[in-house]
Amino acid sequence: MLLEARRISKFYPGVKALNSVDFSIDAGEVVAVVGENGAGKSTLMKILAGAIEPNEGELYLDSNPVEFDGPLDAQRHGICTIYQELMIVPELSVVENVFLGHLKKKGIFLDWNTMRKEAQGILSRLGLTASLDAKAGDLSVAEQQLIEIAKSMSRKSRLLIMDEPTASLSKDEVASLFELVHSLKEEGIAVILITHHLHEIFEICDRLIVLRDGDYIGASDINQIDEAGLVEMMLGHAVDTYDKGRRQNVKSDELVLKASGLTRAPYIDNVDLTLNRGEVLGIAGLMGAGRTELMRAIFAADKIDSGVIEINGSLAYLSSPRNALNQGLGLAPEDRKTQGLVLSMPIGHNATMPSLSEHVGLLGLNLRKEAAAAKDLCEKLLVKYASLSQPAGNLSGGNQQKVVLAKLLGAGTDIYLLDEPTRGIDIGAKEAIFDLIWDLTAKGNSVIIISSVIEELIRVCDRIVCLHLGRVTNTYERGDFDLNRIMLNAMGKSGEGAIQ
Amino acid sequence: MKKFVKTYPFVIVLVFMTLVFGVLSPTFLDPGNLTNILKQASLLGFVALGMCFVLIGGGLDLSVGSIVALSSVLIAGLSATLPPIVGIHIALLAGILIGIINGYFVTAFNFQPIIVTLSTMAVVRGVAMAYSNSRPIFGTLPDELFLLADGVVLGLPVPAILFFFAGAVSIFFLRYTDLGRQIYQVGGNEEAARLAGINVARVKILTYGISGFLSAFAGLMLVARMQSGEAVRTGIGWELDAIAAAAIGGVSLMGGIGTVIGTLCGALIIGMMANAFNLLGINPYWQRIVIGIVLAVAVASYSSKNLRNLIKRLSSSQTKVNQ
Ligand SMILES: Nc1ncnc2c1ncn2[C@@H]1O[C@H](COP(=O)(O)OP(=O)(O)OP(=O)(O)O)[C@@H](O)[C@H]1O
Ligand SMILES: [Mg+2]
Repeated sequence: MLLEARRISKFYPGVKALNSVDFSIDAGEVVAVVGENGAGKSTLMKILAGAIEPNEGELYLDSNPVEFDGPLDAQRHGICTIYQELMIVPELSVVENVFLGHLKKKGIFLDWNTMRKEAQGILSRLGLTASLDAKAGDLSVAEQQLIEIAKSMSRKSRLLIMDEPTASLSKDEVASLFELVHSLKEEGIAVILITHHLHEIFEICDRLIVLRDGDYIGASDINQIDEAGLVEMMLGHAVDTYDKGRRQNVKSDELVLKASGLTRAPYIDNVDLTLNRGEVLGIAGLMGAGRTELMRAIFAADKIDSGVIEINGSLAYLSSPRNALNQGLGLAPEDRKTQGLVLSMPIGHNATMPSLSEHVGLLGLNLRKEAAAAKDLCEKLLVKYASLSQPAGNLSGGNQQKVVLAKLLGAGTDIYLLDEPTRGIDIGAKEAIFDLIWDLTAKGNSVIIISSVIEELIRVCDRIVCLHLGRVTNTYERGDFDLNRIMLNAMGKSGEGAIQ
Repeated sequence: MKKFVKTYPFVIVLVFMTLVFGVLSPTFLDPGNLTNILKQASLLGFVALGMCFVLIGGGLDLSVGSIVALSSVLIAGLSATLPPIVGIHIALLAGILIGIINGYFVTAFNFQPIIVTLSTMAVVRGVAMAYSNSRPIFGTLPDELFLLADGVVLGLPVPAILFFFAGAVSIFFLRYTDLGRQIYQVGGNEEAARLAGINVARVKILTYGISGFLSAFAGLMLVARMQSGEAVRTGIGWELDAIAAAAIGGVSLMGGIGTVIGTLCGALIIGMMANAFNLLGINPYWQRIVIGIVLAVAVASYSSKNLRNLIKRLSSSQTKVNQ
């Protein structure tokens, strides 16, 4: 055994994050750790990576007991980790981020030439097109994720831990990542993979273990289990992914949002967009297509160069997000850590952030009413928490994502802009979010949704717009949805050619 | 109990210090001396309270000491020609205005708070010195004004009552108004606050304005106590003391975290140290050294807690200590 963990327990106030969990991995093995949001996956990974200490249990490296004295020590033992929450330094360039903490030197000087060459090599294999000198903070979440992956690949390691590396990646990027994982495997490097896209597990893993509410549920070789069985193990029950009866056709002819000629160089270029009442509009595209920028432009989060937006038939001069909210637009931003949540603030206060003024009475804020509203919102989104007064930063990644959505739901707007709403969300909660979207449209609201998983868009949308390099390349109505053509359009190729 | 210690470690420090100083100096626990401490600490307390708002909002205000000085010379100087109440209002408004200017430059041009307030710190001090010719001003201050410093109501010194009143208002403001909540949101994550529809500039300018007002108010209290205004030495180093008081009380220098109660206790702790050192006959420079060390220790101990909460990374040595 390369690394073994025995009877690991980790307790936080009010939560058993891990309860006597066993785990082991061999050289050259790819093992998946599976479980719902808040099951304890990330906690287990942080313990293996030396980032936190367990309350109980032991670690064995090459069958010898070890105690890591912090994450650096674990790295020295060859354990390298990509954490779920990105650890990018936004002010530094791409190449500086890749070699953060292990800069290469020639004598006493930094060897930028070698570092650039190596970074370029890994990054182009991963499909990152951004310049090495770009400021990392300016890049999209998916691009930052690729930097994190490159960062870990550029180190010599024996075990690579990847906590939801694919959550924000699209198919192609996942494919190139998995190619890299294959070559690591051949070199005898062990890999732990966490993902909520279950099919990926069947694509690349040899074995999996399942956690639920901190308990060890079981393990299985990959060829002895199928996806339905895995879901049952994860949740304790099956999941209904059958849309009939859940999704209703409620799209009306009434136009609620019309954007014309939206331009913000170099991200979006002359984009026209319409949205009807009761409609779910999907935006498909690859990294750098300008999906997020388009949404932010509509929401007035960034200044646009030109273009007009009409809401309910009249011209809307949106000057700020605040202004957009007042006119019935709401945005769930892409990156929960930097844009979505105030991690230092209680979960409850996060949930009521845009709707706080509703709870102001004669004697100031009605904290009890606010807490009740927060609880209600969090329950609707199935957030798993110990106490609403804990900082949001204590939540598991997927649960933080749910709070971002709860927050937006509380704002009670008419038009919902959802940027990767299902990023890091487990499969049960994902269905709940789809239900919620359909429920919103049934009540006369409208939704624009971005997802890097096109299958999700196909399930949930009435219409899909394909974006490539800031331009609309095609639009599909439900009924004409075709995965391959949409993907080709997103890559900037004409879908027609593919059919013939 | 354990939870109490965890949330309010500064209360323990306060009690502990009271006991230690009480043993070391026989006069420390005299009611007269304790009243004295309250009086002294309340002056810094106002400034620290203002700093608490600015820090929670993610900013920093180095101009507080200069505002205290300007306010003191304005009140004393204007009393020669105007009714004192008018001069007081002008001084308080000047404090608010300087705060708003600080906030404006921080928000409109995205300048670093430390640079902006370092500039106003110098400019305001210069203006105060020019106005007073760098000499103390006695003016024609009414006797009622001195009651602000020396009056006693229900057995409590007036400055302490005002100090606790300001604290109570601040607690209410931060806890029970949406504007108060927004200060935490802006300080904790400015971009998230902006996207949630919060007027970030307004909130930030508000915090600097509050800080300017409370500093000017401290200037007023100082005039009441000294019966004069002075621009050269007044308020020198108070920005450090105020930051230290807030930091000791658990206000995060990174923004988004902190309480009024903590800041008030921090101000009391610093006031108590100054008083005890005085009683024990320790050279005042030791005071600066100790305050510096206490500040470093406070920030280090809290920020490791923040690390634990936020980045969830812990150096294992600390875990062992905690367990
Ligand atoms: N620092 C902390 N303080 C308090 N509770 C915590 C802390 N870190 C994690 N938890 C709790 O431990 C549990 C497990 O969290 P963990 O992050 O391991 O979940 P996860 O399986 O990675 O979920 P996800 O799929 O959402 O990423 C959660 O209930 C979480 O709220
Ligand atoms: Mg996780």
